[in-house]
Amino acid sequence: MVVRSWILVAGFALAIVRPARAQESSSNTTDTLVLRALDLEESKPRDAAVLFRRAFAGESMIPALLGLERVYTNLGMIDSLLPLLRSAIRTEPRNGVIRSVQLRTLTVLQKDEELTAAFRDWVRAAPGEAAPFKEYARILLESGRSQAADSVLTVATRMVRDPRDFSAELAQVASAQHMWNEAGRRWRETLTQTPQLYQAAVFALSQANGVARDSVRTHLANDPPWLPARRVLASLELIWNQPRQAWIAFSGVRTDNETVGAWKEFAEEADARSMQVASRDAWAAIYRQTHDPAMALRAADAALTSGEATSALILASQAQGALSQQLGLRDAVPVRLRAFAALGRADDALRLVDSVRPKVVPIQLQMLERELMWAWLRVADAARARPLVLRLDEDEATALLAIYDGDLAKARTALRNADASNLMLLQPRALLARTTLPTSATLGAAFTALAKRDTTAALTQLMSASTEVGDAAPLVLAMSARLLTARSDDAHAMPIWTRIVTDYATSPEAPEGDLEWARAALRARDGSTAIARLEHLLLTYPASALAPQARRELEAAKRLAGTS
Amino acid sequence: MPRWKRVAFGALLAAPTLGAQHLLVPMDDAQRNHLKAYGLTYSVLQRTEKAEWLLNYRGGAFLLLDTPPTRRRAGLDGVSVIALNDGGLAAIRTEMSGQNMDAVPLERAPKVAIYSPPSANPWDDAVTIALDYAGIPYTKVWDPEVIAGDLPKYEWLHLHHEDFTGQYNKFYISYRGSPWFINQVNRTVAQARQLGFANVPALKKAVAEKMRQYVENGGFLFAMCGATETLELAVAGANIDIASSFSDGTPMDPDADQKMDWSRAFAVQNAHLEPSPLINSMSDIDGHQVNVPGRRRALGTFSLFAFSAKLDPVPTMLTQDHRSVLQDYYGVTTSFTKSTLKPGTRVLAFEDGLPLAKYIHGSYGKGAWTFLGGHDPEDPQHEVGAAPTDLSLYPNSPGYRLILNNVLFPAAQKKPRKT
Repeated sequence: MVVRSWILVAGFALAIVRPARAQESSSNTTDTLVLRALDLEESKPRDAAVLFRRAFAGESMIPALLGLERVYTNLGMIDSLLPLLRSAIRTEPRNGVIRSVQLRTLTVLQKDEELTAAFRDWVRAAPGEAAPFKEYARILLESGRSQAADSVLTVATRMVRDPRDFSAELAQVASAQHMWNEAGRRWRETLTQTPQLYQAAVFALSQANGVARDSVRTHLANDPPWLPARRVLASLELIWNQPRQAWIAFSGVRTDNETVGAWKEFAEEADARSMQVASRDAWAAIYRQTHDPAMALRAADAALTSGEATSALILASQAQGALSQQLGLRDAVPVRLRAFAALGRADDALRLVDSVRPKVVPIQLQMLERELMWAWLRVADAARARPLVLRLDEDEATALLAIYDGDLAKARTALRNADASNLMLLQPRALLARTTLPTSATLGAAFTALAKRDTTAALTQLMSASTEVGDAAPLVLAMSARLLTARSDDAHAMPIWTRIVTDYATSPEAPEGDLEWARAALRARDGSTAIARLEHLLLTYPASALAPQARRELEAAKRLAGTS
Repeated sequence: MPRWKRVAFGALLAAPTLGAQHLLVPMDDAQRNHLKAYGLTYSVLQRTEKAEWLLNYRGGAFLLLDTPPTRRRAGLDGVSVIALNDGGLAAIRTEMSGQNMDAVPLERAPKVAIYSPPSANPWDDAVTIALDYAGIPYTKVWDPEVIAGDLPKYEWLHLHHEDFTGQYNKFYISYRGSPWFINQVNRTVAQARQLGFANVPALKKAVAEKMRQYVENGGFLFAMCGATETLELAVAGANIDIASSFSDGTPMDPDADQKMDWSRAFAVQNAHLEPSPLINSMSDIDGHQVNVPGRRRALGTFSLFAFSAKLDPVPTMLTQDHRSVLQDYYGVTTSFTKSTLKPGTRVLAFEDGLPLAKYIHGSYGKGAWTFLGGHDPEDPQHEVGAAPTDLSLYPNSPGYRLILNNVLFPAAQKKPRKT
């Protein structure tokens, strides 16, 4: 009786469903089902799964299978895919997509034995094809089993029609195993066939460190100079923080439109990494090829940031000559002005501003005058900077002018809100943090002399100021000693460094004093004094940031002195 | 006295007065410079002060007396030390007594000899690099000294990648035109003649025999890279022509494989020689065959075995490390096929997932030997002409620690073992 009831219910259900399905198949293709499922995938994954299942039975098996893989994964029921995969494989045993989904599914389910069996079954079903090996090796690599992936690919190269199919996978395996010599060689081979794998090559090879990088460099830089390999090398050098080597990587490559395109990508990459030394060279080279003044301005900007104001000035002048008057005023003149300021050519900056004054609108003029103000401040021409400082009212400029005036209290106040990244304020800021003096004409004169690059006057003023600044005395003494050391004047620098170490042993400058004392001794071939100073530094200031450097120099000093 | 001298002197003397009697040198991740810590301990032994090796405690820590010279050296080398009073030490000993840990007294600084040609580049030998960096003194010995019978003067003999079969590591195949190789051949041939040997294989076999006798009579030998495999072959093949014609003018004995006397070897038995002079491999002892493209095995990782510190102190000493799984590295001989090892050979580290050992140890006569596969733990691919490894960049190298464990291991011997 129970059995008969079930049969009745089932028959009734079929009677309802069959016409409904027939109706739907007439109005909706399986493609439509997939599209509807895609719409529901995020919001109603269970409903999407039902639609994908129905599409799977129709002509859209592959997109439906991929959809089900996503939805089941999100729903945590990926094992439901296995019976469908078995059925799909029976229908299309050589289909790479179905087989790949099967391998991925078994990987997620951690069914290692079934995974291996599925891979072997695929190999049998598609003899001579590379896909099973590639997919399986990729899965093994992703799960960190690089040795297993290597074994699979070794077998594969003997079994498939064209072993070159595996060059990318073999390159990945070599990288994963940190076999950098082989990785470099294989990636170069891979790029020959598939230059679009450039990003993958950069990512994989960037992990190389130490001497292994030289192996990678050798392969990528090998003759003949070939753009994709050199492009990868250039990116790697940027990642490895070698901006000068990065641009050199392109040397020898034939220049054509494709190369210039690669240079542009490289220049943008270097800018994004704040490596303007590299981007300056790249933009300048692009400008020489294209004669596009916008490129010259990019190069000039990068040159300025990397501290090469002379190049910046030349490039910006060339750009201005090629631009319309309006664009030249807007884009090139500010760069030239900044270059003049950086070079300390304040009079040239003034002439430039005066020459364009009638042609620019007030807001532009204010921007130009700001650059002019910094040009005057950079050369410590307080008289000419002052009206602009008062008018433009910038904290950093006010602070610097106050320093030149010796008005330390005013400088301290202005610095409270000033931009901390301004390099011109670095030393004044450090000094003001260590003295409470409200005024010091001597210090003002010292900073003025420093800005005017009059080191003799600066030294006199600094030595004089060291007696009046209290706790900041070792800093002021160190400033003067650094000046002397930079002039290779060890005879005068040494007594100052000695004084810092002996009279101000607890000051932040004392470890530097020891290190410089040791270096001066080494320059004088006095290894034993150098050893004594470096040992003193290491034992007295073990937490100093200079300790690792001191340890390295101690080894060198011991070699010089013939001890170990 | 100038003020700076007062400050420095004060800094040195201040610490011991705080009540510490001992310095603990931790060797776990708290240590800033693991490699220099071995040098510090060696320097203590050189001053005939006592030290202890706390096996399995904090990565294999050292316990030293708190003295001004020790503190000074630790400070200069950047070695982390922790001051301990008697109460703190008692707490450590209590903790150790209930665990797989033990304290081994270190009694004297072993005299170290490195078998290395006078012309060798200092960076081409991982042990030289390690000892130089750690500040452990050693003496270089070469064929004339060995043949003259100098080895018993030393307690510790290190070999690196010398080819004791006299075949120049079969580099003849790849580098016969390279100036460095031609120079090496010329120098070695001249050396053999000067010492009265017909050819280089004969000289190297005689040297290998001296080394075998050195260990048999109580010496300690540590070998790496190709020296491990070729020493075994030279010792087992002492009376057989196992060298190819490019090195001695005659081809290898066709029955050499059957004639090998493995009872004389340290670690290996029943291995098979590579008969072809054109294949850059010596035998099937090496499991990686780095220079044979068709046979080369990829690098993976190797794992150190854990031993009972109280029952098995020697292998425990040799495996003290702050890592138990290490990145593998190639050498002319990278690993040892387990099926070729004698039953008494102790495997200290094995290649993960492979039937290969990386690091092995055993007794031989009154002495002991240790073999570590690979060339340079911090340069996995080390190639001819590669830049030297700068250990200041790897002060915590777990691979180099294995080498330095071997330097201090003879210090733990209670009686001199010299012949």
